[in-house]
Amino acid sequence: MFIRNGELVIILGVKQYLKLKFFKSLRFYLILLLMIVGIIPSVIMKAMVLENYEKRAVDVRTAEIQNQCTVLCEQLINSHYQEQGISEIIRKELIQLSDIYNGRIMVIDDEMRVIFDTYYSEVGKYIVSGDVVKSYRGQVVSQYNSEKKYIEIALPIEDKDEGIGVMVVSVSTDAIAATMTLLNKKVNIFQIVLILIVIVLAIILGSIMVRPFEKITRTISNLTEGYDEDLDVYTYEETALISDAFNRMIRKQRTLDKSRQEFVSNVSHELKTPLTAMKVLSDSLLMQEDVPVELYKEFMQDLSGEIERENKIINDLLELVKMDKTAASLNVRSENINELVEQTLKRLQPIAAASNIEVLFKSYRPVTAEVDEVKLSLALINLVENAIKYNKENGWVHVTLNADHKNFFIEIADSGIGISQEDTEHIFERFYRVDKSHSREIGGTGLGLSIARNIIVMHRGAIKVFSQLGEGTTFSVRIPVNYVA
Amino acid sequence: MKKYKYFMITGLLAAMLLSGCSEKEEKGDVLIYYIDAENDTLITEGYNWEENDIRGQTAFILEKMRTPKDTVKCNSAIPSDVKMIDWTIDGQVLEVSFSDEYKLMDRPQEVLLQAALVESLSQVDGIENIVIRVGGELLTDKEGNVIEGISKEDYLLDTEEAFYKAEKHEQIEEADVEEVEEMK
Repeated sequence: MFIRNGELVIILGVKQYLKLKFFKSLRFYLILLLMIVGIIPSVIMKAMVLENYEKRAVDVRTAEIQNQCTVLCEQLINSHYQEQGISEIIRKELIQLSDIYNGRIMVIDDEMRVIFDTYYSEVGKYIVSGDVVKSYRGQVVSQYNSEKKYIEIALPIEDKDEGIGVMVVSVSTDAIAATMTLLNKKVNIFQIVLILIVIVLAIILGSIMVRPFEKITRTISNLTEGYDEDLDVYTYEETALISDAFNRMIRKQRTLDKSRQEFVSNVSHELKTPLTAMKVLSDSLLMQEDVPVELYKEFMQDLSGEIERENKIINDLLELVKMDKTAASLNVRSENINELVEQTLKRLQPIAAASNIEVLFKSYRPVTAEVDEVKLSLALINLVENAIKYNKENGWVHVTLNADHKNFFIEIADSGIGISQEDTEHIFERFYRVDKSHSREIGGTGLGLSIARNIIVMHRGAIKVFSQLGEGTTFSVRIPVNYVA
Repeated sequence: MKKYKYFMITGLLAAMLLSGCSEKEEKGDVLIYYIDAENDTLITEGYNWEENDIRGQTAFILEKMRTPKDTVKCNSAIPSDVKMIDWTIDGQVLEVSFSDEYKLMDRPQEVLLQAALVESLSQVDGIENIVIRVGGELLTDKEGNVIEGISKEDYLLDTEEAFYKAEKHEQIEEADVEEVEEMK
């Protein structure tokens, strides 16, 4: 029971969640937009068309009546109506006209007195309505009152002999109003149908248009779960851009993963190599019987060498790992670079002497800069040590120091074995060795340049290499004088 | 943004209320008739009685007819060059004398003046008829008949009202048509 209820609660909860979220979705906005775009113009158009119809119908009717009344006015003038009264024929015509149009006609003489009224009641009175006065003064007046549904027209009856009169016509527009209502009804029905169609289309289209986004979500979920597929939702330009950017990111992630895997396997290999050597040495020693002490001594020396090697590798690795982790924490102080370089070179003097390498230092000016002394020394040691190690017998290493107001430059040139064009692209990679067999003799961990580059980059500097196979190599280092975080 | 919305709404409401106030026609005890700005038709302004006898009320009306409150919308129905020389009350008849400039008015102006007088003054309890003298003489119509007096019933102010009042009127019969002819 409980489990059931629990399930029930969860399902309900999800439904609630989904319902609320729907109103924030692109789908909802698209549907809403499509509905607005489909419905509002039709509503506006209907209103405009109906209004125009009304106006047109009124104008047509007004013109009709005006024309007929003008004819009657002529007849009145010709029959000298003010003097002789309105003739029977004309009376009948006026009454007929007013019947046809369901209206009322009054004729007013030059004293502004009503002399004829199809409804009779106002005969004999003086009229002072605005329209009549305007008309008496010569204007043809026509007005439409849509609220009370009538048109009123006032025409001057101008006769040179008898003076001015006015014909006033009031005509009901019930017929027009009735047609309007009918039209309105019809258009409304049509509009409702249209609105329904628009709503259905909007919902369908809206749902279809957001499908690509659902595909994106699905693909990314799959990727997270481990399926290896590319995101290729190219339906819209926008989704294409998203797909491309995402794929680039994934690819970068993958190469990063791969290089990390490589690094791990490299590390383990490098760490294992000295150990293997140690095992081999010790095993071979143990296997032999009656081994002279000198042999033991020799083997112990070799063992010691391997252990030292292992130690160095581990130290270098730790250095790298430390630098990766604490990328921002340089201990920057203002240092005398000349002294720094001199001290570094002094430490390396013994090694240089061992291969009879001449190490020369030339400084063009005194340089003071904001650097991390320990790290920079380490980088220099790596570079100079390489220059010494990968050198010919009786070769040279020239170190130069120069500066402008922005950066200082250290160049380490050697007369060594050189590096091929191809390899110069890879030498800064971790554990990369140009010639693996040769390097083992020379010694080293393969991490030196990598560490040096890291240090230089942390100082916001740059390192470049120029080399000629068999001739020599030059490393150029540029570091800003003022450290910028 | 919210505050701005609030201000707009209150401002709108205030404007609506205020405009409602100003559009309401001033109702008073008595309506004085004037000519509108286009000189075509009569419009009214409401006043409250300051007197309660015939003479007092008549004087009040005649005075107010010359001086509308809203001089932009209203003009006096009595043109400025037409002077009212004298007026007397005899029973239920008010006799008004105008100067000769009265004859300079065109017909519509004259009818508007007459209607204004008649409509305004018939609100005075006791006045039923108005007689107009110009230069001492009574008015005549175009056939030469003397116009004895005018009253409210002689004037039709609004064709709109006429049309609708008459909707309920019966259709004219042949007999009525002849009657109209006889009037001529």
